[in-house]
Amino acid sequence: MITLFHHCGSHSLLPMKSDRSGETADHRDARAAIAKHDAFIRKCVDGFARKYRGLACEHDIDDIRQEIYIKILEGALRSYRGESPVEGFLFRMIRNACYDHLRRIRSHREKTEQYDEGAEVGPSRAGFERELEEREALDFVRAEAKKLPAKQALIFTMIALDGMKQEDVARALNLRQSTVSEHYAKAKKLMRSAAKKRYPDMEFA
Amino acid sequence: MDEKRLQKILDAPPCRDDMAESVMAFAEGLVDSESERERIMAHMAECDSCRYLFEDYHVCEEALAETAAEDRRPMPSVAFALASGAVRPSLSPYLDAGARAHVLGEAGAGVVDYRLPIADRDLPLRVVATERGARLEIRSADESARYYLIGNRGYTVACVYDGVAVFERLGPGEYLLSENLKGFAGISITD
Repeated sequence: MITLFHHCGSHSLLPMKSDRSGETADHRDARAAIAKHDAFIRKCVDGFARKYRGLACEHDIDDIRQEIYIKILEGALRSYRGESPVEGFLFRMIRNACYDHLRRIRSHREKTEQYDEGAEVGPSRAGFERELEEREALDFVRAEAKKLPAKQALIFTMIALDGMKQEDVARALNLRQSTVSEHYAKAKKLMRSAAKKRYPDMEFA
Repeated sequence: MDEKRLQKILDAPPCRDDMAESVMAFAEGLVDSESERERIMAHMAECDSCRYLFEDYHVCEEALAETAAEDRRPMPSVAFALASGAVRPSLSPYLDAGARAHVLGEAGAGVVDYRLPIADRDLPLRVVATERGARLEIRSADESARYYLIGNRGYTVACVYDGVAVFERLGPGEYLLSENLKGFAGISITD
């Protein structure tokens, strides 16, 4: 065991959590993992920063990176199961750290806004009813989507509910855009007929 | 970025079936079995958390491809050997001029100075050979700076006192040095 001394008063190299001696795989060794994936981590955090332009400043990005490195040093990679490449696992870690940070920023911003605006204003009755209707419609769409074949259901959900473009869905699923378009049209047709049965008096676009 | 979408992502409950790693394998095209692919797609259609993960992966993939095309510096690294109370550094662009002369002209020196480019600044690193291994001294005017030294089996942190942060009794091995975890430099010590 290597022993180090430093001026902070701790006199040994802090072992990573659940240190399993003898394991040499890169993903179990924080030093090797950082040396190998530092550029990937930086690029991913920058990618998220670009995606959420205006929501995170340079300090936030530094904080997020630090949080990720600390997690690695504390042994986060030990829960990696090896189903996907280690970059995939790191990507999830980075993504979670980014969203946790954004959650904190938004919560802080909301508190400040509430404080600035004074008394809280509740939703109007009309707004509340519209929200209920929307939720009911969403539940219906989700329930019907479950009855579709898996690929069709996923394509429909990504486009209709998540607002993704057909070309992005095609790229993500490694399919031709025409195939995505076909699946989406079929799914939409089935959804429309299900909706007509459920709400016979309504018009559907 | 659509604020509504961000809110949906932030509000999505975590996956109840612990499928995130399978979703990542699917995203990377590593799932060969058709039935497994169907299972993951069916799951993603229902599980908001996993579907957003999958969608984000592709958004970031573009960002990664863009940034990969940009010029980036490799991680700076230095190497030296410790032998009978002396440091024998390998020739490195980060060696101070005096130390470079040692490499070219002498067997070794008691002290070697480097300037390591970490996080947009040159970190002055001094390596001192002692009877009990190497001592690393980092000069810094920032008393709040924290220095991390990461080894194969753990890490340690040093704070700045009187303008210097110190790591002592370093044996042979591979290390990473970082200031506030913003950028890293490799340090390789051999016998």
